[in-house]
Amino acid sequence: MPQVSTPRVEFFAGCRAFGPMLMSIVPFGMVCGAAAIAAGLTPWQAFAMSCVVFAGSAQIAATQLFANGAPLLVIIATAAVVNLRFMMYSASLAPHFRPLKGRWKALFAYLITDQAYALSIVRYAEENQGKHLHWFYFGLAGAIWACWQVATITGILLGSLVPPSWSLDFIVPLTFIAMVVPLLSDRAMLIAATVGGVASVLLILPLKLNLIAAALIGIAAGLTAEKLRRAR
Amino acid sequence: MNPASPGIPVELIIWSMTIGIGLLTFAIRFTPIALLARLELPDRLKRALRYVPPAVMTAIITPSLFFAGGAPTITLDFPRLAAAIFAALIAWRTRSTLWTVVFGMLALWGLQALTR
Repeated sequence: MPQVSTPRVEFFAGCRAFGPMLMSIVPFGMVCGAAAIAAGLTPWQAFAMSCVVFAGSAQIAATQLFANGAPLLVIIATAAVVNLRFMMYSASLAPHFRPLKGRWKALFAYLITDQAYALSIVRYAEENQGKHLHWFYFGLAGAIWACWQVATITGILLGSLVPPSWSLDFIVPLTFIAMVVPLLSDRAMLIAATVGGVASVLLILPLKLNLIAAALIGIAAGLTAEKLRRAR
Repeated sequence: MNPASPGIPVELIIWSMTIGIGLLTFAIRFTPIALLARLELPDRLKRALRYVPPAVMTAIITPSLFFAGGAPTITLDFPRLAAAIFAALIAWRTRSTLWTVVFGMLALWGLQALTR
């Protein structure tokens, strides 16, 4: 089965690996586009945001905060905290991207997503990897990008046609639940998630700083739980 | 639209938000790749970053399960909360986004029909 590794073979292997991701990316992208319109962005502004930012969770958080009248700096800072996880992915992919030219590094960095990271790091970790493995990443991450933009445009154009009584906005928390639950394999992760969730409900802070504060408290709780377990 | 920044045109806020988040996000994605040929992320930071996804994602979704319609009171939105818990069980068993979304939505519609 393992064909000779050529750029072409790897690129299309990456595109094929994207297939199963379709069902998580399409609804999320559509909801993201629809949410931006509901928050008061024009279709062009919504599409520009999806291209410039290219990070669904941060886009959702930002458009919600914008609709609730949060100050600009709080919106930007919150989105940055939501996207901090990319730093972890980037650090983990960095050794594999080292041989690439600067331009490709920048493009590949822009294309980092939860799904692209999760699927490609498995291949990179395998032994006997071909020299063309970055073509696999490019095929996978590029397919995710294209699919995300099409889904976002669909959400922008059709989102306002769906009556609110269908509660389709509930798809956002559902996709998040599907992403979070598999992560909760150890107690420290569970504590980080629980504390973050509880804090976001109970904290009443000015300037819509709740989300940032709750996330940081959740991270601190996870670290503390890990430390206590080690000390034992 | 945005009462926190009176006097500033909404369009300007939207573009500043888009460009600001875009630049910061790119910096977060690119910096380790650009620099890590020379330096490693500190171990402490690496461990902290592990907890970003669960803490952030639950912090984003939990308020929407409690504050129906965005009102700042703890009025339980029972159908949403129950459907979310049900969806979490589905996610745990199936590990599938598709089934989590399908069963979560069916549960929400069912509960909404019952409580109406």
